[in-house]
Amino acid sequence: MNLVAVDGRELRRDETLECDVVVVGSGPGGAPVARDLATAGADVVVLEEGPWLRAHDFTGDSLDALSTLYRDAGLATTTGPSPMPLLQGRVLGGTSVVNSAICWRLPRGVYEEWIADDPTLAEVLEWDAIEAAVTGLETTLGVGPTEPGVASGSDRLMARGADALGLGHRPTRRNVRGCRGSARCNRGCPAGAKLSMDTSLLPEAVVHGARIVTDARVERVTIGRGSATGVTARASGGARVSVRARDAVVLSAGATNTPALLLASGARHGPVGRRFQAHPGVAVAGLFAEPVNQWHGATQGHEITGLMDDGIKIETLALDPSLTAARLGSVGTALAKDVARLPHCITWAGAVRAEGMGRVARGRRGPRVTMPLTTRDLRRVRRTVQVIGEAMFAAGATAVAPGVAGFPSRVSDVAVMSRLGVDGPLDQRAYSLAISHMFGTCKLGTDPETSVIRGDFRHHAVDSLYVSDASVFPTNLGVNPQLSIMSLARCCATAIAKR
Amino acid sequence: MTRWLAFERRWCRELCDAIVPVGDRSGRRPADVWGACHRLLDAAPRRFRVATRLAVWVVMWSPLLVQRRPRTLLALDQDRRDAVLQQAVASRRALVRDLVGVLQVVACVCLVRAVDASPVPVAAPGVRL
Repeated sequence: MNLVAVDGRELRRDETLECDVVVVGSGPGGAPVARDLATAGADVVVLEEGPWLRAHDFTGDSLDALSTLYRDAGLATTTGPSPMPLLQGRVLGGTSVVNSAICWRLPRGVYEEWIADDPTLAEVLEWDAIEAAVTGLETTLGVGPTEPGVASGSDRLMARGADALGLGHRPTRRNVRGCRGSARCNRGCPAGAKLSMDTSLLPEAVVHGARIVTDARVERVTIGRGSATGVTARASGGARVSVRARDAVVLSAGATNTPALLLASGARHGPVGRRFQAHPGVAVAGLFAEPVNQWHGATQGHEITGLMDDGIKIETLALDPSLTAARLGSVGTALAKDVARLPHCITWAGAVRAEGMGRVARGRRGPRVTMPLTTRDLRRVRRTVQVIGEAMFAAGATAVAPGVAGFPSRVSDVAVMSRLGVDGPLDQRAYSLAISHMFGTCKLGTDPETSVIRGDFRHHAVDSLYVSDASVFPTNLGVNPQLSIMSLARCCATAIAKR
Repeated sequence: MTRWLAFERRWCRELCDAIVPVGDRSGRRPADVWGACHRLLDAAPRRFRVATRLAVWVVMWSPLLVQRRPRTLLALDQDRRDAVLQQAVASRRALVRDLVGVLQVVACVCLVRAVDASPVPVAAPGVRL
């Protein structure tokens, strides 16, 4: 089935499209809106900056994946003294194509935090509506726990390590069907088993008449008389694509690009771009006497949930061989020896629910992101590394590479690892952090002074302009956000349909 | 992408080899390391490209930076290279540490390009395992 109506790479002449609703972005924020509205009979156009790639295009090579699937090859970073890479997909289906398919419902406690901060929000964003939206999605996307048949050696070791430390753990719940356990989720699923947006909701949208334009980067929302009327985009082939939308413009470009697009379009109302929040994460490598072969099984098939009340979530993560090698803390001949022993290595990741708030500003070459961490955040990061190391030793590791500057690059004694939690540095520059979950830059709320988007996902100052992605979340979640983004996107679609 | 000078491209290629001296299963080094680097850098944002270029210079002159020896890294034998690189990776100066880390990521992505888990690269000829 051909999903793409217009391929921006082949577009040589300027093109103008008309529709009821234009959706900017095809990831978990945009695809559910496109699917639900197209199914309801609306004429929908979806614009995606990246290309449409299918299972046979995913070679598994890290360099191919980085250069074709990720925004800025996954090498864009926050600015400041301690740059953190910002990992986002740039392909039809968005980040759902390169994430590990982990699904968590919006935690009730997080929703209650939102309502405690803004009680009237409960009248327009009801818990029951969010739950109803997610139930349908879980069925469509085949969400369920990682099957034992595709649990990797690393997953089994995590279960053993967590049991030894008395920490709660479980197989991750993922949106896959027929997973073969090739551990290549982050490089594009070669089996087409991951039910990312390009293989699930977008085909449904196209069946109901939605048109998809790929390789077209939206530069501006056109706003006239206080109302959004469409968007203009530049196709990678050089032509200009203009889309006129009769009913609504929906921005689903993610928590860094949506605020940048609003600012570029002159929609500067409210704290747009401020309140940037994230889940900074670390990856720690462990070495075992016997081969583990973490690349045979799910990419992220198991998680430690026992520290989530402390804002820490730990997961197995089969980083590809090249990035695993880069995490081993060795260099030169020692690294060559380690590379020869890669099947004995595992990598686990930990993410913290950071309190620190940053900002997205419009830069000359794209969004500029700052993200300072608080001392409490750094304590959590330090504890995350410590617990991962302790759990690896409990699972039988012979050595752990914590990746903390000022601390031994290779630790072979659990007592040393435990000391990290007390003596380890509380300096952001000492840790190799990366960010894959971003929130909060177009905050949802009822007060136009402190929020950008209303409870019905409509912009406070620009009529017919909606935002549907993680930028509307008033806070970060502490869990993987894609299912929450999708469920709120469905609530957004319902609000647009009511118009 | 700003054009790198010929000697910078050679430095980048040889420094990647020094950081992770591996080859394929038969011990051959990848033929076009600079081609892989160029492809990665071409897709990367300008900040990363600038950092990588700076990293090449810093790692090349790392003996001067970490041991006060006025030599280039490539002028040293492998044992001394390893010692200097180890000191640079653990440098107290975050900038030196980060720049070595940048080149290490580039080297690993360009040289440890296993398509799946099984074909693990082996050490290049001349490297003792």
